[in-house]
Amino acid sequence: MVKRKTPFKDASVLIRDIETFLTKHSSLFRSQGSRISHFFEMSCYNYVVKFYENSGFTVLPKNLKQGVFRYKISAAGNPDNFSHFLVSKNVKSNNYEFEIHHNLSIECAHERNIFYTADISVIKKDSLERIDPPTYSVKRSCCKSINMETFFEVKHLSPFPELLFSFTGIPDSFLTRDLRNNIIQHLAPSLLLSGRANFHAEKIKKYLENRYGINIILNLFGTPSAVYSKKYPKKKIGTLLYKGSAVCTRMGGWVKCICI
Amino acid sequence: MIKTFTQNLPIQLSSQVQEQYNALVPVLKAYASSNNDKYYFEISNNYNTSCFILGLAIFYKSVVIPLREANSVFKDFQSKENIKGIQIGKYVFSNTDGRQIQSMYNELQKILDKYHISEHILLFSDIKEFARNLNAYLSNKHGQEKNSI
Repeated sequence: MVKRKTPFKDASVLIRDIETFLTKHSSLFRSQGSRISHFFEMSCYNYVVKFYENSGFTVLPKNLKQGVFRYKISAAGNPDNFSHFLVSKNVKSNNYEFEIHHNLSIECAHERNIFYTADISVIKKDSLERIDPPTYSVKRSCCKSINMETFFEVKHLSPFPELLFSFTGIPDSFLTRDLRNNIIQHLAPSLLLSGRANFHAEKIKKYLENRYGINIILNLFGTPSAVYSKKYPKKKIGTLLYKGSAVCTRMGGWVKCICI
Repeated sequence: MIKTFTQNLPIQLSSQVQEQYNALVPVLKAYASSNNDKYYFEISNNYNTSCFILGLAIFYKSVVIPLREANSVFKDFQSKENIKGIQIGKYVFSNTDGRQIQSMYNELQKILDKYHISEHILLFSDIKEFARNLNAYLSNKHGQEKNSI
């Protein structure tokens, strides 16, 4: 077998071009590099807002501070000090209003005073509560499951089986599936990943989506519109009938939520 | 080879990029020495260049694309009620950041265009797919240069 020459007339030209580029923008990479995971989460937040825009909702930023949108980057902090989007739509003379938050605590649908922080959550308007649970030593803002329409978990990772399977437990504990109508439809709880799927991950994705009625949306850097465009079919979930608080009662060994 | 890409990154991101590269290079090396000429002939002949493009792909996925998307979010937010900036912790992402990222991204696209390296090669899902796409690219590139002589 005759060995061919390198495909570039001189491969070092490519390397030199890239090195010059990296040196020129080194301060940008150094300064912004530490925010990469926040940027990905922010992008996904924006895709979810776009989904509501594309579904005919009016979108308004709320709680800006001097024109600046304050993005909540962790579970800590009072959501009142951060910005969010309010989305609203009139259907048959009823005005439906929801808030899209990031890093918001959600109370379990089946057990009081245990929480999970959803990366992105869509909740009924004005349903945030400030509570003093025995679980924590400080007051905490949260949304009860009965007021949470849907949520999204964001990971700047490639899909792997453990990650995909483990997501299915979260909707099971935190999403109220009953007492919903289909006048307004939200995206079903979704796992949003930056990485692309190989054949195995693609098979797992299809299986989990069909079994649990969730979405696993992959390759968001390649096709961000997979979240918001109608071109990509996705599982949906209706809107909660009532805004209320949940009372949890144990019935025959099962924990059930009743809306009051 | 990956040092070229990691030297200007903050330590945490630099380690992530380094780890990804370290995990994938042995697999690429195994393909290169597998004598499977149908899929890996060009990689075997251009091993160093292949490693460099692997480093570029990891850097592109882990650093460049998230920055591009951050700028895209900023532009979208600006179009809603004239949001002037996005505060992330104590940092405010503003117009200046947007311009710097756009300029960086445009410049990199020019380089990629110059060498006909498509995003399809860089945004790979697994190393086997990357190796096969890269092999096809290198093979095609060789053909193009041969024809242009």
